[in-house]
Amino acid sequence: MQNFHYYKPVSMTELWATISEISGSPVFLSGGTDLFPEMKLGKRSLDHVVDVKGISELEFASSEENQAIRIGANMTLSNLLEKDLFPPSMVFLKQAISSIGSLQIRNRATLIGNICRASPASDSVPPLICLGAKVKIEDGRNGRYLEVEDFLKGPGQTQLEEKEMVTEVMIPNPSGKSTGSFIKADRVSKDLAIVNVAVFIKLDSDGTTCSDAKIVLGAVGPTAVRVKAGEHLLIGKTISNLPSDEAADLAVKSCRPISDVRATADYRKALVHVLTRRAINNAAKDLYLH
Amino acid sequence: MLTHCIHLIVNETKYEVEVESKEFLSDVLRDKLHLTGTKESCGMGDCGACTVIMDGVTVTSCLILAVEADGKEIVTVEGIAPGNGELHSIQKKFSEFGAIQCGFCTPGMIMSAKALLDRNQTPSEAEIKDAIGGNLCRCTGYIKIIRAIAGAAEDLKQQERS
Amino acid sequence: MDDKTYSLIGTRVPKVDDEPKMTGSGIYVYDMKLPGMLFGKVLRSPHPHAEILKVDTSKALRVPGVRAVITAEDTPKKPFSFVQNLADKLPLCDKRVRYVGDEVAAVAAETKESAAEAAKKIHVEYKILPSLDDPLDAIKPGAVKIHEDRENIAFEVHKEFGNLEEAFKTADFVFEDTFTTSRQHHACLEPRGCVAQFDPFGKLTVWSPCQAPHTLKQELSRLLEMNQGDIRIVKPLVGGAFGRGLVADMIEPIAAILSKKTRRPVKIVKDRPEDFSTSRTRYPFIMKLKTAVTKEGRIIAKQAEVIADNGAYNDKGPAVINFAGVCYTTQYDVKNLKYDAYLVYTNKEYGTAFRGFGNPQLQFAFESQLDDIAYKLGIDPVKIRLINANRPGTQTVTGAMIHSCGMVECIEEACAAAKWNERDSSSKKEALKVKGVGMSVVFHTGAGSRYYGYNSSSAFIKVSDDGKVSLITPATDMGQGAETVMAQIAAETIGVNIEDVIVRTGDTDLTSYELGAFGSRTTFVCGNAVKATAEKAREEVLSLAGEMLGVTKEHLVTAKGRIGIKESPDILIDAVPFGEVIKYGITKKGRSIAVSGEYFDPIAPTVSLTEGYGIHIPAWVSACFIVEVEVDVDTGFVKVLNVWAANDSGTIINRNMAEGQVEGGIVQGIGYSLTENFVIDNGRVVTDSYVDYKIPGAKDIPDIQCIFVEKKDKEGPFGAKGLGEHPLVAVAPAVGNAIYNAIGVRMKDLPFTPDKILSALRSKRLFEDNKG
Repeated sequence: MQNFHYYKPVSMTELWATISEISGSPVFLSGGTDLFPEMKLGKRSLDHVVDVKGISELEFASSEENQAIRIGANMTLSNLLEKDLFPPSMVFLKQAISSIGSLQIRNRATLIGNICRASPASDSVPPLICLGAKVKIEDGRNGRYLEVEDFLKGPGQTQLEEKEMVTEVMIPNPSGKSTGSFIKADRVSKDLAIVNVAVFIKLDSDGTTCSDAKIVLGAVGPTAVRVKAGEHLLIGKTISNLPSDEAADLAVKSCRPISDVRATADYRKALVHVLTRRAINNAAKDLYLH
Repeated sequence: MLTHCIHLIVNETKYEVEVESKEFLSDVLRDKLHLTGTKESCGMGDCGACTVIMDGVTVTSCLILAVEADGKEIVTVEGIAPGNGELHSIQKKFSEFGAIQCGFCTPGMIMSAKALLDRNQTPSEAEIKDAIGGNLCRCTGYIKIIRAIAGAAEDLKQQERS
Repeated sequence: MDDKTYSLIGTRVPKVDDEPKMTGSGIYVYDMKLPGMLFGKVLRSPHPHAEILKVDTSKALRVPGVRAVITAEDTPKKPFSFVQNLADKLPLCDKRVRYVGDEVAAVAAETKESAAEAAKKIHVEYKILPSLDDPLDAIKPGAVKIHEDRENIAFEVHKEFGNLEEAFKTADFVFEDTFTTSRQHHACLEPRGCVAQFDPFGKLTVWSPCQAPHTLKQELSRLLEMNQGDIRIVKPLVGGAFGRGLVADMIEPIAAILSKKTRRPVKIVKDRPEDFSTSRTRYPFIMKLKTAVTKEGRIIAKQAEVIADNGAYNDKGPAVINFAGVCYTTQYDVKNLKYDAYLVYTNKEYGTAFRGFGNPQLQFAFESQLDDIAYKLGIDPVKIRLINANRPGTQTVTGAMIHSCGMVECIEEACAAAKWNERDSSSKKEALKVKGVGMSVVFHTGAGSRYYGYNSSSAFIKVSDDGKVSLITPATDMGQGAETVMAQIAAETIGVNIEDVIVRTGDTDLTSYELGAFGSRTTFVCGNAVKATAEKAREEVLSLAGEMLGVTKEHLVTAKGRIGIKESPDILIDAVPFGEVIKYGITKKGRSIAVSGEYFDPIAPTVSLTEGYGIHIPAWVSACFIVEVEVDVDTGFVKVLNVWAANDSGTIINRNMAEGQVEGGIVQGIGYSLTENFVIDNGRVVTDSYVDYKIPGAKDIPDIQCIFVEKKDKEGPFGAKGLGEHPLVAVAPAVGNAIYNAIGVRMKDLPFTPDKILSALRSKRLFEDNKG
């Protein structure tokens, strides 16, 4: 393994100054739990690694009443789980995060790292897309927000240009009565998802009809798959009678899974149907009972 | 920079080490500090054998650059016994309950147990399984490890009372 | 001696070697550092089958820090195999490579990195040959020969007893089924490694996590064309074995040759993907079973045809297919038997021993079929097993002598614990997550095998003037606790505390000849030798004590390291410590205590490989496992909820350790049954990481209740037999039977991954819809 330059700036100003002096493509390091295995397997070679963990400005997770939740690049998954951060409508995101890796991995890995890794099987991405989460991309001069859904381009590919970094995830706080459901199919505990499904349902003001829905599938396409047809099907229906079966049929039609060592494409499709149906029913039941 | 002079505080001892950027903490602990208690079985963070406690939480040392650990407080299996020939409750219970077979996963398991009991003195069985969920064992089937950790929790609680 | 008077046998005394393991001071091969040590790296074939045209090491030699680069030219080029007359493997391939991972060249360098870099720079020109990855293709006429000098059927076993034709003709029912199993990888936490060092006088020492040090010594003498007397094998702590350490790994002769060339110690440790791809696996079997029964359920004939996928080279394959047949033909005392097994070469990672040694495969098949037979006859699965169970004091038609046998008791106790009669045996269950309960009965060896013509052992004990008892035993501890069991046996027999026993093992310069830790034999064979030696030592100590105390031996008792006179008003107070007796011997009598003893199996040298089938097994162990599963009928996921494991391994010497073997074996068996899907694609092992090869974690385990039936064996030490393997063997069929009880589908192919279960459920629903 080739040696590389390692930098550890202690402020955002120093960060951008360091970046500007690097000729070549720097890699931003936070948790390293995806980066280092890839490096060890020879899938990535590193020349310049910029460790951002020393930057306290990136260590924040704020959630104020009815305000968006903002999570900085240095928040580890364990930190996020320990804080009283997520309102009831976002518990499914919390569940997804706690299904990532093992405790040791969650003690290092960050939410932003998980998003930027752009794995088709990411557990955090489907719930984040359901919630309309955005990433903030900065380059030292400007900052822009991009929906997570648009940020991800393909397996391992994002909209990040060279010398750009995601500094924050912003998750809008859903107004009104809403909830989500996240289901992950894995072979044993502490596994990558064979398929995961996140569903988010919002009720209208009289609390009986679905006013908004999101259905997002993971590990069945190059990036997370939005089942827009399924979402339209649910909108306007009564919560006690959501057409989850038909929506699940549409989910199967939307996905393009591959066969790999974890599962065949056919089996993944079968799971998509089951998990989508169950996730919709779980969310509906949750709203109906509360 | 390509090489760094770092300070590691391991088991309450300060070490000054020269490392290249690419060196991982597990290798530095084992090869430069000669603390071979921490094992490395996969190098990818999948098995937990290299688990150490860094700044109070468990981490897989095979995925941490030595330079990332500069200035950090690290506890390895060599550092949990209180000294004077005494063993930690976790170690005593592992032996008493028969939780050790080949022993290769044991250091990592013990560190996961230590971190758990440091923050939660009355863990449920589910919480214990969660704490060691990232530590693979091929020999024991986990049952005695879980019981040993529960036993250690009891032991520590009793010690605190007296 | 009455059970109740044992101070150590049957207790939960902690293991004698826990401390180095839990304090981090223990040294595994993985941790070893010797002065001047170099790091070795093997260059392996990327092709499943190819001719080696040219090997160019020039660029590798120029890498800074490289001290040697070797190819086949640096080796004696003498083919090797565990069974030498089936030899087919060179430590470094000369003209051909036969699997992805086959060793071609090796480097020794100052650092791991420079060794790896240099290995990459060795240039090999290959001519790719057609490869075979299906044993059924490999046995077709005209198939490419994987070894030019022989057929693709590497070995065959054919056994017949009784009158099969007659039995099938007169049977009430005959059942035919085919079952298949997969490779299973040991996935030991310690990656396979070794250290080799030649001293200036030509003596070689190899440190290896091996299970059979004396066998490894013999193997290296063949591989390296050296005298055995110039080879010493040392076994440090072992980070997992389960069979992988029974035959030399080619890194061992390779490291030795590198050491000879560089005159420095050389360490080779495989990285994790290399370990998965080359450390050898369990043999997958294709099994065709034909079974004849009476309408009452008595099995009157068993016939099996097995095709085992050998992989590219011979290893324990011949012994595995033979042993599988021995168990298959002995269980249930059937009078008419036929067993035909074929070991077939393919261009894949080859096989080796793995806990169960062929029995898990064939047991899975037969115990699954037996349940089907029971259902078709309308008989409870328990009843059919009770009807056919082996009983003590019987001899089977295969020649097996069943001395002690608790099979019936195991079945009864498991059923009682699991409340078998209260289970829901209906075939239609309506629920999202359906529960099911199934059982299996196992018959396995508890004392190794006489197959090798030798199943004896010996030991050495000295008692010192500090009261310590030093025990040198060849018993191989690989984590299962052999050293502790030997220490318990010695301490109990002599009458000292276990803390007073110092155990030394794992060094062929020191220990007597021993076949190794396999076939669940260590407690029985090595334990008997230790017991015999300890009895001798005790006798000698008592003689001296008698002289010292002025009484004859019959008046003396030993306990907790002291010797007392039976008739003494206060034995404890008047008792004399062992150390003082030895001091007396040394200072007053010119004697010290140093004895050797043995366990001799007289039958072993009389049984040949080809005759005497069942008689190969000195002692049989039985078990009945009942498993409860929960099946998610929409996803096919199976969770094992409970296992009730009733075991007869005779007297239990250490309860913690015995439970540890049962629990650990069960969890490995669950992996074998459900999640350990070993995938080879175009000859390349795809599942070469813990991410892809799924072994159970702490959240994947069931509740386990261990029951020990403890029918004393008359030959075993304190009545004990082995139990290392059968817990794994019993799991897959019980899980399969539980799944059948839950959802009415018979799974015939291991592992039962969720997609297969879902597929089977769908076929069943389709079939039922069409019927109705």
